[in-house]
Amino acid sequence: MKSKIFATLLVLALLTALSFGAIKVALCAPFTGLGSILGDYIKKGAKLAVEEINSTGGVLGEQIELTVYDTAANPSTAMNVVRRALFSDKVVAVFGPNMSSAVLGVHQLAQQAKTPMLVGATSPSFRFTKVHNPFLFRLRADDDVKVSQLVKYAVDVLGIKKPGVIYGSTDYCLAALDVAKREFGARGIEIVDAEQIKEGEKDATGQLLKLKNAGFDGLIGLTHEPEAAVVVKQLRQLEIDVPIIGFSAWGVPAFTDLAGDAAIGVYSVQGFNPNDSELAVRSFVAHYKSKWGEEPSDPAQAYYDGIYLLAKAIEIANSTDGEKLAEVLSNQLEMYGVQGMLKCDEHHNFTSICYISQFDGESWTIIDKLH
Amino acid sequence: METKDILQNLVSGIAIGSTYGLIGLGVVFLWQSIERINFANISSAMLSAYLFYTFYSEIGMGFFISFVLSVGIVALYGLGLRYLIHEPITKRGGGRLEFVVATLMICVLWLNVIIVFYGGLPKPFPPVFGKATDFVRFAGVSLPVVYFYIFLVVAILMAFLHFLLRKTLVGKSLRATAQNKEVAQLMGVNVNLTTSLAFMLSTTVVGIAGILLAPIYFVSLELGGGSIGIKGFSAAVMAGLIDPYGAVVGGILLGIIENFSTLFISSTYRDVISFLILVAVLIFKPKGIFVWSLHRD
Amino acid sequence: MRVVNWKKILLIIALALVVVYPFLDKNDYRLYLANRALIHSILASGLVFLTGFAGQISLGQAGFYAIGAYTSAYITTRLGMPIILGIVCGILLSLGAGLILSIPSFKLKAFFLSLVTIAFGQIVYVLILNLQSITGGPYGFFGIPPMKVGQYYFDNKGYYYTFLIILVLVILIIYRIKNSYLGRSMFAINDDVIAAEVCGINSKQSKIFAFALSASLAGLAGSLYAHLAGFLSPEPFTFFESSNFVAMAVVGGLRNILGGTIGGVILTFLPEFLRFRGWENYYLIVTSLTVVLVVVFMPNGLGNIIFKLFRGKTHSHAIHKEITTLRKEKEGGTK
Repeated sequence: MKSKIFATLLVLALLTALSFGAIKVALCAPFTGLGSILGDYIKKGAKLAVEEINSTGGVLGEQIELTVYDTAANPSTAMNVVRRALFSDKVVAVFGPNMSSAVLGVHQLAQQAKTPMLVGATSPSFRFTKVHNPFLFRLRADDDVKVSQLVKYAVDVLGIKKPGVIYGSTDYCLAALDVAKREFGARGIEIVDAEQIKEGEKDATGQLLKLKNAGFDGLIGLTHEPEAAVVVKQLRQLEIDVPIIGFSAWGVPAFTDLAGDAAIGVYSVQGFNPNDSELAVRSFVAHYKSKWGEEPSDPAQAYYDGIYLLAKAIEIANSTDGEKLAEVLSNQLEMYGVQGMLKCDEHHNFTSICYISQFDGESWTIIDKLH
Repeated sequence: METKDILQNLVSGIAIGSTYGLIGLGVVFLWQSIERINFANISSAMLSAYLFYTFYSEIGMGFFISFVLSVGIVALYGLGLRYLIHEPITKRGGGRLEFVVATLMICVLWLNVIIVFYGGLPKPFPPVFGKATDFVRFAGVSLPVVYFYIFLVVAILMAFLHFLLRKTLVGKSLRATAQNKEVAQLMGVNVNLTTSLAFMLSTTVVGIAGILLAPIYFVSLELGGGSIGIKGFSAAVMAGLIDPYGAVVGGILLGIIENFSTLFISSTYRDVISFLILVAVLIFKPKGIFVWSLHRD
Repeated sequence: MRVVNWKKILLIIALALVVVYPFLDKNDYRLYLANRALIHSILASGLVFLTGFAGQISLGQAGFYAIGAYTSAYITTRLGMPIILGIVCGILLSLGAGLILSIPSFKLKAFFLSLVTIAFGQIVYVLILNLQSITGGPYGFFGIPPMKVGQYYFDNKGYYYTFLIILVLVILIIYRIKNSYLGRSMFAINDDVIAAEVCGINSKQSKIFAFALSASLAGLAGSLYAHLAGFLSPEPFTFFESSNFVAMAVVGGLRNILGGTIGGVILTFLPEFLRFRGWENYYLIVTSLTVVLVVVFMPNGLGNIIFKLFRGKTHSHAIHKEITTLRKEKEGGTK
């Protein structure tokens, strides 16, 4: 009998320790599997913000406790870990998944658990105006914004009249392709040819020759980083001399490191540029470098901003209640972050910042910064 | 379409196909020497590429030392495969199926080990085989310099393995062991030694391939779990798993098929087409498509 | 005698726990995992039948799983048909694909056959990616209706009992087949095809049957998954998923009627329980290492160890021994 009472007390003590110990936050990002390129940046960006906040006293006197879960770049696994975060850990907020199809698959769980979900996935398909989930927020500019800017720059500045597109096979690439088709169409320009290079393919000769024979005068690159490197290398090899403008994956070190000199002259529409002279960006880059020993890359800044957004929201709401937080995040919160002024718009996007930049062999020169 | 373009497409297909063939060499060799298929065959390529990257780019050792060290470690790993996987399975009465499942899981295991230690981000390979913008151009057709190293190594390895298997006593012992272990033993073949040799050589060949393929596939997980592994198998079975030459020819054929299905049919359905051809070959020509070149045993 | 009773009591308690589990554990996450484990068990039981009983290998099981999932999703969501019809169509389509895939097994030996199945899995995967108008491609397939009875929409509890009943039925069916003429002839073929054919056993027929059964079970599992998850995307249907399924069957025990269930449950829960804070990338290393160790050092699978605890030397163990000696003789003696 005594032992029973003791056990009950122990369980109760544990439960209180767990529920009042810290502000629990989960981060779901891809670390394993073949689509795991971005996981490290996401984790490092979020962890940096958490440590900064905790070292200055935390939020409402509590420390933030970040638990990282691997989604394996697989929506089916994402479904497991998001459930774990929401229903088992009972977190205050979930960051990620960072993959649009996974977000579409799990966002209703966040609504069911009344817990805010802040994601860095970029497909326009889960804008608030489409899915109406008051608990779902986006920390980056969505693809609709970025690809529209890309097409605008390609037509207005680069003077591309016969665009050729190379695209990958993931939702990221296909969503971009849809926007590109629409935007070129709106300008009365027809895409002369669109060719696919699947993730993992290392030879694009056939695709590029087809584009060449279609008479393209500019390449629109809508693939992931390794395929982007393959494509630019082979463009140089085949001596096809056209302006190249790529989507966000074409504007990160993961691409330029692999492509080497072949990437010189490539234009890209970026979500983040570490060379931005803005104070917030400079200080973020400096902190990130001293902490992790490398330069940050998109989407590290989005999750860094996201943690600060959540901290601020908890302070304003003076509570960790999910419904209150969602309310604060969507209506009251305005904060200046790495990505400029962060404020929830009608699509539940906090920012629509993007850069048009060109690679000079060393770094990305900003041509235009768009809000 | 100009003839020049067709020619370029052909050359690129041969080039990418030779990388499949290079991986296929390891498959054929292990099959010929112990009649086993190592589904973690491709892992050796990833391991040696990451080891080379560590020694050469991160520690800063010389090219030669890095190369020998990484290939040497992969050869030892081959020995480990034998003593830690193959022998215990055989001892406990397991057969080919158990070996297949064990090696499949080892393939997954290595991918995860690499992710933990190096992260998922592909790493650029040092320009030891020419820079990304170094090309050889001839008659309107061009190819990155690295492919010429690959062709050279493919030719050497192919000839070496062929010679070893067909013309030397070692090779005869290997094949004898594969065909009938007990009889080979009775005939005085040192089965213990030949089995070790088979494992070590097969991982070594794929290990060398890994370093050569890294400029094209990058130092990435792609080298240990991407489609190249499956295409290496396809290359090997196209020729019926019989001869090292066959693996290379099979790989090149696969590369050409892929590039021309992109050019003339559809880049989207490229893989469907090449896999359908593979299935067709397996069903209608299970002994390989080069039966006419079959060496009599 | 007492010992036997104690074991019986333990067994009854275990079974009772399985039955009342959803009422004991209110954690929605673990209950969801249990449901996925049941689905995996259905699929892996099919693989145990195919590989352990009929001696054929398939590394393309994710292909059938995908066919079942997308068929049922399409029929219920786009055509608005009842779920039961979706599941039946999912099974039938997988069955058809399984029948086609059984043809190469007449001619091909293990490794070549495994390549055909890999190619099949890859082709299905690429088709899911590209047939966007049917599958939604990489965007995913959304809004798949949950199962319901009358006005009661299933929650995780409802799914648990449905899947549990289906799994028990599947195991019973496999048990009946195993002890029928067909099952015994399969064991005979697995031991020695030529001897079996001399005895008048049709090896083609039993191969077709094994492929068809395992494919339909994978299709069934897939269609159940579609309704449980509510959305589909191509990523869970890759080659690695297929090898994961094979690992489930092998870890559970290929010669064990409950092998698929044991492997399916263990390999669904193990990686999830190994997610520790600060060690988030290590869980897959430990999982794959566990599978390698089980395959290498316990080729009979974990199922047999559990059985041994209850019955001492098991019947299936004895069969396995007999077969391995036969196989050894054969491997030594042929060619």
